[in-house]
Amino acid sequence: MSDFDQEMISDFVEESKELLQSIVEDFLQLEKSPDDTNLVNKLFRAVHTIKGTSGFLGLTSIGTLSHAMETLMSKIRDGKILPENSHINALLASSDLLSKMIHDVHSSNSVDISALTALLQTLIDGKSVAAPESPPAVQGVPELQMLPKAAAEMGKPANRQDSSEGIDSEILTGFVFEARKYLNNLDELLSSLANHPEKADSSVLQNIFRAVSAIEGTARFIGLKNISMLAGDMAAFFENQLKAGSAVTANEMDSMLTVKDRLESLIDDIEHSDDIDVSDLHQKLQWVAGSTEPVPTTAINIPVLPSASPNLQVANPVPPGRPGAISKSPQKTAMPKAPEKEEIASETIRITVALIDQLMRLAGELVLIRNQLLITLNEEGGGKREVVQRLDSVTLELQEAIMKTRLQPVGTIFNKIPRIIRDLAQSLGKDIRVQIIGAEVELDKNILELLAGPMIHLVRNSADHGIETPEERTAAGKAPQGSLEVQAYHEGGLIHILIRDDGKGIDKEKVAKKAILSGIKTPVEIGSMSENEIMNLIMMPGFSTAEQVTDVSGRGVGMDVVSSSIEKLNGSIDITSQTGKGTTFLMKLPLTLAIIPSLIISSQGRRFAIPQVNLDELFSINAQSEGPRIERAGDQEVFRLRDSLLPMVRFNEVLSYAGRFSRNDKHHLIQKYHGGESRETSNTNFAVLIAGNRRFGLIIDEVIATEEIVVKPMHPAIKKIQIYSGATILGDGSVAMILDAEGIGNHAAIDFNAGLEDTSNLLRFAKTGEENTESVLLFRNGPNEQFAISLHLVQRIQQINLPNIEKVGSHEFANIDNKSFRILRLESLINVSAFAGTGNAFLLLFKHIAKPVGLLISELIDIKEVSISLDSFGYGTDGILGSDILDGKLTLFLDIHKLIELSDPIVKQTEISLRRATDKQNPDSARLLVVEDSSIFRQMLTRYLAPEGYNIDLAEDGLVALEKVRTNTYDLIISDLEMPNMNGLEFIRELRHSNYQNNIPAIALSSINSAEIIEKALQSGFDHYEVKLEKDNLIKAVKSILLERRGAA
Amino acid sequence: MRETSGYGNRLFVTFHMGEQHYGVDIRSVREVNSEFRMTDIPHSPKEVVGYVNLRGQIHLIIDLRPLLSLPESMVPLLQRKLIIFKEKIGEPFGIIVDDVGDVITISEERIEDFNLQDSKLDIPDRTYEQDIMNGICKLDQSLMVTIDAESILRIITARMENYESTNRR
Repeated sequence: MSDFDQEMISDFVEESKELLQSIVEDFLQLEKSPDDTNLVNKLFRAVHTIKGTSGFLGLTSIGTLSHAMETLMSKIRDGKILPENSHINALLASSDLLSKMIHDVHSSNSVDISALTALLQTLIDGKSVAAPESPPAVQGVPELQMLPKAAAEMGKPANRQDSSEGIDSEILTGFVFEARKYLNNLDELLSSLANHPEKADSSVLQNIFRAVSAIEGTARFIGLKNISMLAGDMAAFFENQLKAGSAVTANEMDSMLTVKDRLESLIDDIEHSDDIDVSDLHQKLQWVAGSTEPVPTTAINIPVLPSASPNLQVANPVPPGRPGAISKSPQKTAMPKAPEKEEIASETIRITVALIDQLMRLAGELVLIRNQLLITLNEEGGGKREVVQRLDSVTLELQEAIMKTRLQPVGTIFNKIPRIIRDLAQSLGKDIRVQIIGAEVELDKNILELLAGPMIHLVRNSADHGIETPEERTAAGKAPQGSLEVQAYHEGGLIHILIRDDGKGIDKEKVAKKAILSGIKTPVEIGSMSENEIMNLIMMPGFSTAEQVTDVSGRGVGMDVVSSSIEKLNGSIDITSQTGKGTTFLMKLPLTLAIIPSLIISSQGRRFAIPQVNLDELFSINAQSEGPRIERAGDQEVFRLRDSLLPMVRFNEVLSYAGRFSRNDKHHLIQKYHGGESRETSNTNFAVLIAGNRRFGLIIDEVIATEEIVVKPMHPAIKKIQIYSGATILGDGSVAMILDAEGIGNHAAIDFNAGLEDTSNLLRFAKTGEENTESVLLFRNGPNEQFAISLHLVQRIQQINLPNIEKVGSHEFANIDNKSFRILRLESLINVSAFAGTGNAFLLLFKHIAKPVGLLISELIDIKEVSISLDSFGYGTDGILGSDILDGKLTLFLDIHKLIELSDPIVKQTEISLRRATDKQNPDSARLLVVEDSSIFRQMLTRYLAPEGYNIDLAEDGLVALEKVRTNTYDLIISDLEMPNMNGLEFIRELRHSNYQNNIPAIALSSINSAEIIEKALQSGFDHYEVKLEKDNLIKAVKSILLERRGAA
Repeated sequence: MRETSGYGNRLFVTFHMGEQHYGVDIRSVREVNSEFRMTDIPHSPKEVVGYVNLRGQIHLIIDLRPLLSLPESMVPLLQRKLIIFKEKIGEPFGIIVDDVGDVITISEERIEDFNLQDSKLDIPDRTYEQDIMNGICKLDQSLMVTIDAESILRIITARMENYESTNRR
């Protein structure tokens, strides 16, 4: 074949792929609106274009099939046929086969299309094929899952009748036993392969191959067709993989796991294994095999499965007796008409990815040259600055534009979903409405390709196991039609993809039980986990087992693979589910794999990048302050971070030990840091990293900056080093390694369960899946930091003129509404950059604070409704509640009460001495339950009450609090009034009428200061009412109530 | 099609480490570099010096000394030179040498094969040295060992394997 032909064909393939993608959508649309003439015309043109070009190129099978489709479309166009379900099915099936042939265009002529052309011809002739007893419609459709009954009629039943019934039940039992053993083994092998595809050596593949071959062999001997077919497919795939020595892609892995799961379910119900139709999978496997290595597709089928010919031929009832007729038809078809081609040609051109990569690299190079030029120019001075500035902006723009070329709309995946769900719903007898939002959101091409498998897996999972049948739904009081929502949107610099169904949800109890039974978690660990955390267990490797399918309604099958593929993309996935109401999967992904926001840190004088998606929060333990310390639990260092124990890893030590930490290493390290009495003298900085579903603290030397980095993969010769995920070139042209959170965790041999047994006295509360949102004021003081403060605390923002500030002694004052306010300057209270305002500035005045003080800030940025996950708050240095990343910037959340304390050392002194005195008075500390939905206030209340020597337990709403009261004893309850689920008034009424500790004294805490509300609160059963953040009053009230109680007791 | 200059002649980029002269076929060399910033890579085997950025592309830099059982270099890191290989030799990489000399032309027959086919089979635990040095040639005043660029990455990958297994125990 000449180069010219070759080029023509590859152009044809590209063009046809694009056409076919819209064809499938359009056919589905046509089913809904059969009289849309525009649509009919469009479809006709598309099919016609494919037919024309393929005929010209001598692709006879494609030509014949598309010709038949065209003829049917022309009848529809002329109004001679009104498209019905049967027509659409046939056209869809034909489109599927077309796209299969186009994917492997060189073998397309050997594909048997006679079944479909015959079917199409029947339809063209106007015969109704919708009648239930009419076999051709059924047999022609390759997507046999739609019509399982019919599939069973074709050749299979005969086999089953004389095989299955004839099989000695003992042999069957033996086979099931043996097959389960192999499958369990397979499970392990596959998940290790899925988690570390790069580490797949031939022995793993060999073992997998052996296991599936064994299943296949026995199954075929017994006459179990489906099982032997699928196992055979799998064996063929791995055999091929062994020969080729190529890595298994995520997509292929996905398919393999699906097959394994299907095998499991078939073996679970061995008696009926051949009643089920598995040809969809079988076909998909051919597809997988075909896409890895286009040519040897046939080679895959022949050696292992000589009996199972490609699916279409199995399904083909019409003897292939018409090749002659077929090969003639293309000659009749004319050359494609120019205008139809133009439609596509005018707007886009095709460029190889390699070329774009090269452009990208050159742009990067240009940036560096520009940097060098800037440096030399600064040295020389000179008047060329303007020119360089222009070069600067052009370079930037160029870089961005090239970056954009890699982006593609998620619609390329989303558009496949309605079809998949339609087919699945049909075969399952369900009614599912698919809603797609945000198909235009763009993602990097590489990410999209790798995302397709997991996405499809998740939507299938929702349709298959989540959404119930119409009968079940009606019985449960829901609308008979289930809904599946797929949505993509931007948030916080990441792409969020949400898949939500309104099905039956995940049964947490069963998940928990399963996790305990399979040894993934101990009952103690489960006890300390939130519902959400338990649900996310289904993504743990090793969670899916043979009984899985029936036990946990199928959820969890292959979920670990989904989760690990998402992680590979530097993304994360989270599951929330409400029993009976539905399940939501939320994936967060970077826009592009090539460029990611990251944090640059240093350790041992080297700089490293931590991808933002792996970063939860930053934390500094002040050596001087009283806060929690790094402790030891066995040989694992831990830090008490709010409600949990966070395992800690010292990155300097990770760098020093080239091998994975052994027990000895860990013991040695713990001796080094916790052997003596010495307390650390300098501040300890750590980053909380997310590795899969787990978190740990990485102790680093310094946080340097955030930077958008271009990710380069590790050099293949050293990519086995597990602590890096790649390398990048920093702004100054030097190379920095990108850290791999999971690899570091693994290298450091973290014991995630360390210290769990003795945490009963730790502050704990159940986390909900929902995050709290708070209104915060974002502002700036110096040039370096962005600050945030809860808007609840701010009474007003006053613009002031800097010259109007008066200085009295060492203090500064401003006059506002004839009242003198003392000015607080952040830089004099905490270690931040100096005030950078000129002329006008702002003064923040606060609610519920007795002293007239105002915080001076230079610039207001925004008021934002932000989701603050509890985890993003921590005890940082004094005056800072914690940090979070908002709008891609590290933002410090201020603790205004602490700041005021800091500004007035005398107050602090007395408070501390007071505190000491109370400490002595209350040796047996009282237990307080704080009920508050806002994470910031929870945090603050804990910080103010804990130093008084109280044991504090937290609940985020009335329901949780009631639960807590049932299981723990408390001396006092402090509760907010406005809360979700169960508000404070409802809670106290419930409590007072309950049989559990119904006489615990309770303080209502609210930001509302109205007589009416106070009256209501006291009537409902509160003993006391305090206005939020009148901190001194609150502490006084707590003390006096506890004293009273003690006296009474 | 061989890019030889004249019949049976080969061009070599010469360099030295310590007292020893080496040569590498010019067809495998992309460039020689004397200005670079090195980022070392903790956990990499000792033959790996680090990464350098050359015009937006990251290159892995290898030190042949440990592979050739040579002592550590006396020349400070940043005064040494990099020889960067063409992409056809492997993913972007190069070697660090004490200094780079001239490009010389040598006729094919003057190079003696270092590794005769049968000697390869005889030695069960071959050293890396023998893999990397593929020939020797007498110059006016010294001997030049010819280096097989293609073997370098292969050996590093192999070293990485061993390194894994020794560290994973």
